[in-house]
Amino acid sequence: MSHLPVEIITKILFRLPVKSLLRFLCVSKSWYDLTKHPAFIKLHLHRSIGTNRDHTLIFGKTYKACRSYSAVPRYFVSVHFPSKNHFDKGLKLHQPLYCGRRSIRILGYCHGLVCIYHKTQEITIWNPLIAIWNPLIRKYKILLRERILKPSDLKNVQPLGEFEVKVYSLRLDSWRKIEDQWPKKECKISSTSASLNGALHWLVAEDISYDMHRWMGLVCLLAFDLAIEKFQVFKTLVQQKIDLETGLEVLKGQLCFIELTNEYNDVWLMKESREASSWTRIYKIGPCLRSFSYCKPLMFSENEKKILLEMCHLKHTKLVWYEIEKNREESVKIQNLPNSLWKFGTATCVGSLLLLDGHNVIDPAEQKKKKTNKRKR
Amino acid sequence: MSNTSENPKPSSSSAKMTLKTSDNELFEVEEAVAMKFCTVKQYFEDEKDSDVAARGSTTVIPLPNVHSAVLATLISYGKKLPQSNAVADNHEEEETKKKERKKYEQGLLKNLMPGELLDLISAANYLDFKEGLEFFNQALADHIQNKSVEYVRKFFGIKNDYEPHEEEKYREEYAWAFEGVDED
Repeated sequence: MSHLPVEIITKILFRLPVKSLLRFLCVSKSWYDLTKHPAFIKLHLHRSIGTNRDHTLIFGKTYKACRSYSAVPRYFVSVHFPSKNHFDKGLKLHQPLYCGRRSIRILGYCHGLVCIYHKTQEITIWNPLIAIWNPLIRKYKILLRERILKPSDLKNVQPLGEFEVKVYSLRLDSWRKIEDQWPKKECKISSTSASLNGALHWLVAEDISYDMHRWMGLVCLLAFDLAIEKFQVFKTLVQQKIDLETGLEVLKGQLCFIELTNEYNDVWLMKESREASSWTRIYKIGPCLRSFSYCKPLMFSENEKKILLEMCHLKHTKLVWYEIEKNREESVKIQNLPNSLWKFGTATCVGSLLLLDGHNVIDPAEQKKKKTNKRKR
Repeated sequence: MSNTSENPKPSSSSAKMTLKTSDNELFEVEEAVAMKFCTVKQYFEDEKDSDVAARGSTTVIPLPNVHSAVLATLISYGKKLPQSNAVADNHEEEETKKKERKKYEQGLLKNLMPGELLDLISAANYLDFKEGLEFFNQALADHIQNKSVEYVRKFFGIKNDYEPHEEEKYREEYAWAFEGVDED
C-alpha cells in the first residue's frame, strides 16, 4: 500500500483522542513532527471542543480539609464522559504539586489545561506555587514560585493588597507585565476566573461596605481580552449592593452568573454580548435543596432539561443532575469517586496536546514500583 | 443548482453522467450524486464551457486513479447522502432518512476490510468527495484508535526510523499511554 499523503494522515490523526496520539508519537519521526506541530495541536483542540471527544471532569480536593479525613489525597480523580448521559468510572490522577499535607486548589481551566495552585503561608507573606497542568496527557509547567504580598479576594476579610497584572506566554515561557493595569480604584476581586472566547472574566465588587456581618458591594464583570490585552468592566444585573457571594462560570459556551443569597442560587446566562441586557435567567434553586450553598453548574444534559451541579456544603460536596422545570435533583453516582466524604472542586477538560513539551507528572507510587522492578532484574 | 434552466427536466428525475474507472468500467451516475465528487464537477463544468453539445450522458469522464470496486462504494455512499436538489422533507421524514443512513453506514463498515478503507480514502481524496472523506477518515480513526504502534506502522506501510533505545525510552516514559491497547 503506497503512502498516504501527509494532508490525509493529518485529517485522520486529528480525530484521535490524546492517549492514542501520545502512543503514536513513536510510530515514526515524521508522525512525531506532525503531531507536535502547533498548527496540528490547534486543529486537534478545535475538534475536541466541537465534539464530545476526551471530555473529562477533574475532581480535586479543595483547601478546606474535612476533619474526618486528615490525610490529604495526593491525587485527583478524572472522570471521562463520552456522552453527557454516561460517566466512565473515576481514575486516580496524580497531580504535579503535591507538597506535604497542603491541598491543591483549582484556580481555573481552559482548553484542556488546569491551573492549580498551592500556597504555604506565613503571616503576611505568601509562598504561592502555581502550575498549569494538562491532566489528560499528564504534563505540567510551573508558572510561579514567588513570595508576594497577600492580595484579597471576595471571601477574605483582609485589607486590599497590591495588584500587578502579568501575562504568561506558553510559547515564550516567560511572564510579561502588561500596559493596561488594573484596578483603577479600590475593590475586591474573585479569586477564580472564567475563560471564554479568548478572554478572562472575573467578578469584581466596587463600593464595598461591611454591613450586618457581611461584605456588601456592587458586583461588576471584569473582562480581560488576551488578544488586545485590555481590561473592560461591565455592569451586571445586580442593581444594588449584594452579599458578595457570587460565582462566574462558563456554561454551554456562554458566561454564567450565579447570585448566591442565604436561600437561593439565582443563575443567569449571558447570551451574546457581556452587556447586562443580554442576560437570561435560566433557573433559581430554592431552599428545598437542603441548605447547600453554592451550586456550581458544570454542564447541561443532552436535552438541556437538566444541569449537572456541583453542590457545595460546609463539610462536603456532591454531584447532582438538577431538572430545571421540575425543580428536582438526582444524585450522580460515579464509580471510584468518593461520595460526599470530602469537599472537591472541579475542572472540565477537553482533549488537548498543549504542554506536550512540559514536564511529566510523576506518580511516586509508580516510580517506586518501577525502581523495585529494576532492582529485581 | 444541478438542474439549471438549460435542463427542462423536473428536479426529481435524473440527468446522468458516465464515469470511467482505471480498469475501464463504466458507471452511469445521477448528476446530483456525481456532483458531490468535486473533481468530477470541475471537469464537467470545464467541458460545459468548451462544448455545450457534448454535455450530459454523452460525456464520459475518465477517472484513471480510481478502481471500479472503490468507485462503486463511493457512489453507493453518495446516493445515501441528503441530495442538494431534493425537495425539503418534514422533520419526521428527515429523522427516518437519518436512521436509514446510520444503519447503512454501520452495515458498510462491517463489510469493509481495513485495507479497503485506505483505498476509499485515497479515492475520495482524488475525487474531492468531502462527505466521503469525512466519513471514511472518521471510520479509519475509530479503527486505529486503540491499536498498537506496530499495527499502525504495518497498516500505513511506515518504516520505523527510531533507534531501538530511543523507542524504548519513549515507551517507558509514556507507559500509561500503551496500556489497554488491542492485541494485534
